[in-house]
Amino acid sequence: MLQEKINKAMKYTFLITFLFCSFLLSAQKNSVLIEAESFSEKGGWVVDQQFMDLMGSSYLMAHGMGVPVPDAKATIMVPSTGEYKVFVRTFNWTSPWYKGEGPGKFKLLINGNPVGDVLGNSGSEWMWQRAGEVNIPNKEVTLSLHDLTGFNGRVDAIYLTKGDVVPPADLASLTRFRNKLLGLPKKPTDAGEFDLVVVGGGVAGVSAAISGARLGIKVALIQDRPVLGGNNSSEVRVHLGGRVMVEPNPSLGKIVNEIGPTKEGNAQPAAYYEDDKKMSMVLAEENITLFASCRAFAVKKKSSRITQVIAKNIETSEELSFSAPLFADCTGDGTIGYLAGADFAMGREGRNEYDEPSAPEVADGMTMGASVQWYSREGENASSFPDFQYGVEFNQANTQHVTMGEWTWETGMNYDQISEFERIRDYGLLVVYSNWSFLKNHSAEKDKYQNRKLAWVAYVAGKRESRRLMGDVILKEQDLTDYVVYPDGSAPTSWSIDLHYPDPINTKHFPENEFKSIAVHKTIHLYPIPYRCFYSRNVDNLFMAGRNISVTHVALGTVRVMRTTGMMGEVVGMAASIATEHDTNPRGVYENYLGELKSLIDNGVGKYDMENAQEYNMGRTLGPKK
Amino acid sequence: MAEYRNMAKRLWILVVIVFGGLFCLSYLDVESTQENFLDWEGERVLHTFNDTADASSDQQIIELQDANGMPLWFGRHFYKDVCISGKCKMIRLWLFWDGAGNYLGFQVPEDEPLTKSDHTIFEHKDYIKLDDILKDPSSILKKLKQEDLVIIPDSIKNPYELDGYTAATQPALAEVVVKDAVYSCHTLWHTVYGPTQQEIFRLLDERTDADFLTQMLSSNKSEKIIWAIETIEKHREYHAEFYPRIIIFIKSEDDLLAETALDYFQKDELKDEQVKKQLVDEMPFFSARTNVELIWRLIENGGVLEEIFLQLLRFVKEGKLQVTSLNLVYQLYQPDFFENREIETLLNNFLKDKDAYVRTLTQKVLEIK
Repeated sequence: MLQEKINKAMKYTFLITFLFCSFLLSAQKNSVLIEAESFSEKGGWVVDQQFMDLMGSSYLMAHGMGVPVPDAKATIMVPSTGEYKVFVRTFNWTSPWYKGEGPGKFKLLINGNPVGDVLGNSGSEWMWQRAGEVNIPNKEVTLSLHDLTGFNGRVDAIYLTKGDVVPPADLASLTRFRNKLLGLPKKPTDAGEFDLVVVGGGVAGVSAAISGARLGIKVALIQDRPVLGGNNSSEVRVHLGGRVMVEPNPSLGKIVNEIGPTKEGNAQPAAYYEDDKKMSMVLAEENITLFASCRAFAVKKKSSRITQVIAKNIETSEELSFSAPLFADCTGDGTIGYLAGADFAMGREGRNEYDEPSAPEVADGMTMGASVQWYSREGENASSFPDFQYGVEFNQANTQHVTMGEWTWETGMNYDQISEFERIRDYGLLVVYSNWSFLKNHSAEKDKYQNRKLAWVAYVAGKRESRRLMGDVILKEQDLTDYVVYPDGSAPTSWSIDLHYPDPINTKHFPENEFKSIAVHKTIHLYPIPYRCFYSRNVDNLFMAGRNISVTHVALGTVRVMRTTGMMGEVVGMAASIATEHDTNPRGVYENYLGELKSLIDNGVGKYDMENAQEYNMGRTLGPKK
Repeated sequence: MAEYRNMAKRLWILVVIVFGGLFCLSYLDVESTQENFLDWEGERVLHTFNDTADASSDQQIIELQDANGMPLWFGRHFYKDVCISGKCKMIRLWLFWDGAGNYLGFQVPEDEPLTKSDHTIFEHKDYIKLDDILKDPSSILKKLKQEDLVIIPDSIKNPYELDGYTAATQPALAEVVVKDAVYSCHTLWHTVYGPTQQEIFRLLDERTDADFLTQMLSSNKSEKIIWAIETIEKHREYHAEFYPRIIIFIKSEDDLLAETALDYFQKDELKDEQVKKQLVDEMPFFSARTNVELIWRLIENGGVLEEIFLQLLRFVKEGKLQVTSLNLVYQLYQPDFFENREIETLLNNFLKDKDAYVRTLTQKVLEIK
């Protein structure tokens, strides 16, 4: 009986595989797949890689803040001339909140002529939509994405086929399909062997890479955006917070001081975030090889060690493999740890777990949210903004009478900051546009906004919290408030325990769909975070720096600000140099070479002898040292 | 006639000194946190002040002047109603403002100490706390009304019939006011920063001319220099004469003075290339933070001429400007600057600099621009 079942299952598996392979074969012969993000001219469309782990690819998005963006263009070759069916992978991003047609409308032009109907305004999830049919007289074809609204229409890929079959929907088959049709090599290109591979080019990752490099180890720095800085880059625009070069380890933070912006402010003009300085500081380090626009999506392991990280270029889809004895997860989401099976936590621990006074009675999945910041500018003339109503109603009572939105525009606290992140970011965009539309078109004070124009809205959301990878020590509230200092105390955290919750006033108007937050603070004294929070307890060669270190939800409230995460990076770079020298792992550094680490911490890894150039947003008055 | 008026003035001053002196004797050895301001030497000048809102207090402000006629302090004698424990009690004290109109201190008669809601008298530490509260122009008390100060039980309808024991100070205030004296703190804070101070500002403003500003700027007293800088900011006609002196104060070791001097140079002032040049020339003597702030202001206010850009590059080369500011300096770069031979040479040298950061940044700027 069992054997019969096995035989039957094998038969079906074989049949499905055969059909899929035949489909691939025929598809390859008569079809062409074009990844939108690989278009040679992006026009006004932006490459969005934030959700590629969820929907399979980075994509192009028409982020025009209500003004249609210039066309994106590509020239491709089709296998033969003739009639082609055209499919586009897209969806209506407002579908979770509004059942009708969405605002992200665009058209696909082939050789300058529109194909089929308007796209981007239907579908409740990423899907292949049949755009229409087209006769292609020459093998060389131009494709254009023509935005109609400026409201974040999005395109993953375009598929031209002489066949009838729609490309696969499920992610695994789609990935195989993509790889085949794009002709990607079966194995990733070897990017080289390094002493340390740092994944994530935010402030923590950059500091870890520079620290390690200055101490003589060969570092690969992988960053999934073309710019460095993460939440502190001009793409997200959160200013640095916390203190550097302070007791008990005043030599930590020198790198942060060198690379960090000198001007304060959230949601300010792009130049404030000094992307060029961070990039040049990294490029100036001979021991760092920077892999920008590459997103790590897989790891290879041997027992409890990571041997390789695999990353994909967010525009070309080229895959690269990175080998090293040591890895640092500075992704924020703890992606590398997660892929490698590292223990992690997410959400709020219940009070019984660590006896933390600020923890809720019962554990839940709530996290702090992600901010979609924005600002407007006063123009010389009146400017219009389209009526934008897609399921979140604004009126005189609930509208936000503001001209900018910074950290308090925070969404997704009750959603999964990883698996639902596209929805979270999109809700951030939705409320910015909806509120602005009300102010400009319907508010009793609309005259005040007449000349104002949206000047910047982030499409890369600034995330505060998701996975926390567990280390040999899990920092908790009482360690901070009672000043329980461990022998491996390293990067000093100075920010208060600053936990965010939905703004009760916002809850009143938008129950369960809040987009504004409040912060609740509890002051602490300068506290050196134990080094043991910076490496995984069960993946032997994995460091962490950034918001994904080993802390409870409550303790994350203080350590998450970027000057502090930068100092974590400095410590990780130091520890990696020691581990390299003694051929040991992160735990080995604690167990056998803590003195050496302390000595490096005492000296710091600053290159320039400079005073603190960033005395802003350093946090509140410190609490007592108990 | 003029002689008669002069004589009358002198006589008036004499009267003020004699009676003021006698009156002030009662304030000697008072419980105070500071020196006895009434002991300071100088000439006392009386300014009539019709303060209808505070009719019980003296209707005059006394100014103590030095030999050059510059203000040392302003003082006013107050009789104030403070409602405690359901009764409004009169308190008597002197309040003093410095020569620039900032709160300076207070003095209470020895036999009439301040009291609390439980009728106990202020202790020394309470006076110190009160002085600290009054020193803070942006105190939490600023925006609060009397009725916001205590939590009133529902059973009591009239807050002025409160018993000190049935009402509690608002928790947010408890840490920042003198215990059991929240009404006194509130009343006195609003007195310090109320109409009398506005009148002092008016008196000072009335006296503003080039000589007065010169003396204030030369006073070596940071509060007076700050007053002068802020006054020049309001009276633009003095800008040309005084801005070079203000630049010098950016170097001050007094943070507030240095910051005020730096803040003077905003959009309007930075339209003048000469002002920009003088500021940039002084950069080697400013702190790194100040230099960064100044470069940002140059960036945000129309950039700089070739000559100033060149000077900034020289400073970087000579180590007089922090190398980590180079990315900001490059935000001021214009492609036609490259036609200047010295700029070209400096940039080409930066392309070969031993510091890879300088090389990388320069390469990028020259490529992009």
